[in-house]
Amino acid sequence: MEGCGEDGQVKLLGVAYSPFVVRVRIALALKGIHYELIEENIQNKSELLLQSNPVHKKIPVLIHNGKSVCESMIIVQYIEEKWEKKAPNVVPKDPYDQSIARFWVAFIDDKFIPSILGVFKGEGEEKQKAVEESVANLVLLEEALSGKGYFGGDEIGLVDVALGGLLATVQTIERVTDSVIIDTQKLPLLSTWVHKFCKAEGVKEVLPDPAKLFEFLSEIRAKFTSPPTGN
Amino acid sequence: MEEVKLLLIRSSPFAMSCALALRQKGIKFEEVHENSLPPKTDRLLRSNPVYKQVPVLIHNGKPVSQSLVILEYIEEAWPPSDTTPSLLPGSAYDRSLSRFWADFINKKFIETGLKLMKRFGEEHATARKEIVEQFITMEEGMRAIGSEGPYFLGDKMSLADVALVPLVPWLPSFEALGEFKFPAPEQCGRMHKWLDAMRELPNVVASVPPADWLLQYTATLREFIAEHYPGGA
Repeated sequence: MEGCGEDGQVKLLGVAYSPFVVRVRIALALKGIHYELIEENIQNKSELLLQSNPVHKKIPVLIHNGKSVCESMIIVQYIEEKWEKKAPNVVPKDPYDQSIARFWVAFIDDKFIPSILGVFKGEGEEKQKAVEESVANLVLLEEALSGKGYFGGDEIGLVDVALGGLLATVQTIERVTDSVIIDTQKLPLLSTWVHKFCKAEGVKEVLPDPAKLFEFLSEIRAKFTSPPTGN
Repeated sequence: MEEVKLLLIRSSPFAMSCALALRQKGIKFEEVHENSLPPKTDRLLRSNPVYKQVPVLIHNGKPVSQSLVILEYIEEAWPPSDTTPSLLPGSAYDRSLSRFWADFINKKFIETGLKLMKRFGEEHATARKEIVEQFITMEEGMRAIGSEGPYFLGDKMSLADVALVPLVPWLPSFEALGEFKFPAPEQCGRMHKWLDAMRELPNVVASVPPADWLLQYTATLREFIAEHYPGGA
């Protein structure tokens, strides 16, 4: 049975296109953990989802031997700690390095994601402001990356997973809104990182299908933007 | 010689959590009071250039900011031993539970509390409703975990409890500002057991301002905002 072996029974409630689900899938893939992906219908949430995440009722939820873990980066840390003995380890050993990684993960969630959502939902001047904010946020991340291959150093770390999970969504938002966020001129190091990360083992297999993601996000954007003037 | 400083302002709920964590661990630290009104000091701007806000922990000259990041750092830098208690339980699953609730408390409950203090009109009415709902959500969460308490996970304090400590001095302010009462012990027994237990602890008392100071502070702050930022701050 898939998702049941030496690692126990592992189920992941989610949808393939959610960046938060992608984060968890990357973490599971890096550790080589077998799991069952249970596709949720967001418009019609299952009993299992409502029971296993009663507070937020959101995906992803990891259910390991019947116990639920919620919130993508909390799940990633759970995977890290539960399977600590399996390489790679995405959380640094040194407490101060750990604090820097956690700081940037929080920054990505608290600042970068809202700015990206601002681009997705915005039009005209509002959208432009959100694009500038998103780029400014990435400039800070570029500085944090500095001379390293990954945020985690030579290997994928916590921040790589946190930001990397969002990449397909960010790139699709760029196309759907006709904006440039991962600007290769303003963000040369980060642009290199994007290419490297998307090709990494464990990552490339779980990235969402760009065409499907484009279709999905275009549909949603159409709902809250004004139709083109003149028909 | 270890040097530990906590940059804070008296009213900051996030600073209260960090101060409690340091005291629970038995760490000697210096409280450095920052300006609660502008301008921000150079010291603060240098140690937290991204957010420019308290709390900031400075350990032997190295800054750590964002309260949940600080709490995790405190646990790692002063790991549990015979003489040092832990702030996180042993099992990966229990740690995920504590983190989940700490995250809920910071992102939802405390944010709602701040809105209750600083906003007006419809936003205030919404905050008033949500703060009670979130109080009940935490009660249900504690019951679902299934321990007897008094803390979220059982008889030991963890990150979730530390994150919620601002509720201890804030509760009377919330009830006064929102003109409501939180559900009684009969409905929310675990939450009240938690409050009773936390109020007794010397480390908590030392880490939070007195409830009536905060009541006065929030009333004054609210008047100031009403005058200068009629839409809310």
